[in-house]
Amino acid sequence: MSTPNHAERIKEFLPLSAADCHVLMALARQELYGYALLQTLSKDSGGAVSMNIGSLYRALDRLLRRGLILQVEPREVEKSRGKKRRYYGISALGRLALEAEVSRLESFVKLARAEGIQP
Amino acid sequence: MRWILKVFPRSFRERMAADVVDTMDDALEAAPTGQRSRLRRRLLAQLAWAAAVERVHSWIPSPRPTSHHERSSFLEDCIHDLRGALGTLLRKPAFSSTVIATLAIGLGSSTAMFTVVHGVLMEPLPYADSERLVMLYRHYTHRPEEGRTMSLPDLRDVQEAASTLDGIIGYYRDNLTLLTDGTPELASFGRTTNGLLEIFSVEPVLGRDLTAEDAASNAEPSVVLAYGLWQRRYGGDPSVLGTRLDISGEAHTVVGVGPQGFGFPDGVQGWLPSLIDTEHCGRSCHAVSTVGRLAPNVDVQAATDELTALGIRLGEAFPETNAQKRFGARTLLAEAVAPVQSTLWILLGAVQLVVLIAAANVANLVLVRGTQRRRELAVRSALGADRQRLFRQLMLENTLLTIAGGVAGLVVGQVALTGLLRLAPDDLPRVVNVALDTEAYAFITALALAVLLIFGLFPAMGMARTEIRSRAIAGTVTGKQSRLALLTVETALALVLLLGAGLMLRSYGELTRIDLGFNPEGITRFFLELPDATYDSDEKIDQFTRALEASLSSIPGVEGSALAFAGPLGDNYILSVLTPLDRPAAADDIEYEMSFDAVTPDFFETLQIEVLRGRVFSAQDRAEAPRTLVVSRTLAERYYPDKDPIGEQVKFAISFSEEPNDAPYTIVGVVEDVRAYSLTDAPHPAIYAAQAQTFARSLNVMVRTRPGVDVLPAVNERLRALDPALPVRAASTHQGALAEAFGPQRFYLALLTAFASIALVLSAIGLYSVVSFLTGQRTRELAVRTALGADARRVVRLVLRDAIRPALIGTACGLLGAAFAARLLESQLYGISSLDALTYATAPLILLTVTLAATLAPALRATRIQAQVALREEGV
Repeated sequence: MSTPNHAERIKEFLPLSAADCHVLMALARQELYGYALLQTLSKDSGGAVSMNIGSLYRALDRLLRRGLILQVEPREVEKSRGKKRRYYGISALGRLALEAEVSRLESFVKLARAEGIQP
Repeated sequence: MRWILKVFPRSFRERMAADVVDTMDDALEAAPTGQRSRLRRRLLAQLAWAAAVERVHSWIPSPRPTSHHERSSFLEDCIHDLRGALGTLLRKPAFSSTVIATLAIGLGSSTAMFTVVHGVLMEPLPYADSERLVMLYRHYTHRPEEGRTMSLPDLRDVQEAASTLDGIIGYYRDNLTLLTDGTPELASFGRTTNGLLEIFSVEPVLGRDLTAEDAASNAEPSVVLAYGLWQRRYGGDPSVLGTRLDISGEAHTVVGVGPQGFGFPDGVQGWLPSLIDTEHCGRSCHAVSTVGRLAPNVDVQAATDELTALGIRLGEAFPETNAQKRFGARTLLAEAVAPVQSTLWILLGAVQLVVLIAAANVANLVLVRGTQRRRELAVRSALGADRQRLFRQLMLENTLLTIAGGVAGLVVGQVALTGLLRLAPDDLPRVVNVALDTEAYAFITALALAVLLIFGLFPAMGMARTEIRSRAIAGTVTGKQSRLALLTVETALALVLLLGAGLMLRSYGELTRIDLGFNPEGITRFFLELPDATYDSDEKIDQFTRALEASLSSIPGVEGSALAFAGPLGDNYILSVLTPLDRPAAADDIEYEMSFDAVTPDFFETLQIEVLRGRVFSAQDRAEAPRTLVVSRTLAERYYPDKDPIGEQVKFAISFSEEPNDAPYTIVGVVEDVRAYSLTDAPHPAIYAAQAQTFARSLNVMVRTRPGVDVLPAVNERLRALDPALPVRAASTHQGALAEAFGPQRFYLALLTAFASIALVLSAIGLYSVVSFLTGQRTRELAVRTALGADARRVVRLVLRDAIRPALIGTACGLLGAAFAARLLESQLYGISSLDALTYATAPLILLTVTLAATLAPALRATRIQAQVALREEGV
């Protein structure tokens, strides 16, 4: 649950952009390094979010600065010859923000349904 | 590859650079070897774009991190919206760059054209109080001809009577031989009836201005030097006053020096007193141009009114010469720009159509994008963004696009201006004034604002309003009508431009097919002036012309040579009044006005001018023989409609000889008309006298050579052998002169064609994007139709119907509009009507072909829609 302080801070981040949502969602599942994250995103979003290396790193930089994700100590990538990669993971604040965004979207969808708007 | 990281702001680089490089390596490693270089290029492009976006963001102050509720101050909202707008635009680079490029092309070409119009037509002349400087013209109550020259008696009466003029003088240009340090040089001087500097409110830097007394027949020859000549010839020595300067063999006393930078008429080396013979040159002898200054607080119309009244009075006093002659005044600026004024305004108008098309195109793109963003905007309005805020955001986006388009437009404008000036004909006046200046910046700003109103304000208002309504969330196709209406307007405007360019093209084609009446091919010509001092008798002039002709024709490679006072497309030009002796004298002097030339016997053969009747001159037409005359076909038809002109006798006032001779001329031949002065005007009636009987000192020498033979060195050598002191003006070819004469037409044609091409491309882009979009919107419908058995042809027809209807209506409107607009072009057209059938048939065909081509791609794409895929995408 969020502390009152967190709840106030989270409002600042909402609404989250589609790119931010997808990055947070991917990192909520597991910690990932840059290239793996890029591949996961293109798989997950089914093309809904067009992420390329430039926009990914802009999103990562933004989320890091806001404290929504964290940089994990470099570690060796599986199945590679001793290469170390920097991993990213979601922070507690990031998880709260993602949840808040989902509930915001949910209430919006409810509102829309009540108005008789169907996809 | 790491260099790309340098483009990112430093803070970003420090945090992310190493990781970005790792990820790139990973991606490249994972790719098949053959595709790596392509992938590397793509990754670099993606990083470059991200870097640019980061950079731009780093320039905008970030709003103070406050809680959501506090973030309500207007400024912070604005900064927030600005960031938002910028982000939105940067996320859609294809949309943004298309809009910016379209705006840049429209605004840039218009600004370039405006700059030319402003520099040429509106900048004041470089003289003090220049708007008060005027010239006089004469016209006739019963015919449209207008003259810019005045007779000396008329001018004198104006000088005495006109109270609306502070001063008025007569002047003409005289090409003379200036002997500087023993080297002869052809120099242009202004000959004036009174002081010219005073009219222009300038003071001589040394000595005095010329006066009416200097022009008296018994006065000592005097000269006022132009500043440039004083510097060049005397090194700016102030003791030059009182010294003597040899001009065409006569010593002239230097009485003054003009101020720096002043030259009127253009390019003169100094000013001399007028030599017009006041005794014999009466009211029919219109010999001088005029320049004067309006009295304070008097406008040109008041001066013209007074001059008209004076003209009527003179008409009553001298009915035989002045009955129908009237005078008027016109500002010097109006006179200078008169030949190009209407054309430049037409071109400026035409380029505004390009701007309108660009604006319509952008409006269409914005509308299309607006529909795509409906969901986004609906969400935002549902989340509490008010209508004002949405409007502001949309308007900010459009404003940013316009600013970017305007800045890019300045670059396009500068490039277009450079091209324009390179194309501009040499005789486009005042080209030096043309440069992108404050007025051009003001113009592009105003134009950008107007464009923003058209494409930005209305769609933004509409969108902000509709988004409030939650029904819009469904993303239905709305605004289709306005999009199709915009397409119709675009098509109509493009057709108007296309027709204009088509008419100019046809007209130019006609021009190049004009029968000149002579063959310019292979003719080299140069100009020489025989100084009075050396050639002080008719015999000497005659001897020189004969010797020169003989000498020239013996040069190897020369097929023919001739001398003429004027010659076709030359600088000399004299109009005179012909008096046929077989009828009573006419009261109307302009009735018998004709152009005059003095030529050597080989003139007609060298220029290949057809002899229609009788004979041309021979070696027998000498000074002592009866005076003979060859006339042009137009003159023969106009003055002798019912009889054979051969053998008829006429008189006219022109004579270069010092010895008075009142004997009449007998017409011995009729030759084909020659377009000697203007390619487009009907040939003027012309008479040719024999040089051996008229003794012109100012001569155009024409040499016909075999193609590729350069005879100039040999010609110069022969001339030096005949008279080493003779100055010769640079040689040119007739074809060069012709190309020059075609210059203005080529300029208008090139510009209109450029405008029409831009218009065509812009409207094709507009059509393509709108039809693609509409087709995309109808995916579900088309899929259902395909599933229900509609074949490809039917689908194509459905899609094309969207495009063809506005194209057809636009074409109809465009044809109507063009029929009106083309009237403005009428004066620029030669040999075709402004309703030329061929053009009106071809231009719509071109437009419709382009329309079809632009819409065929989306239509064919629609036929490939697979019903199941489409329906699944739509979530059915």
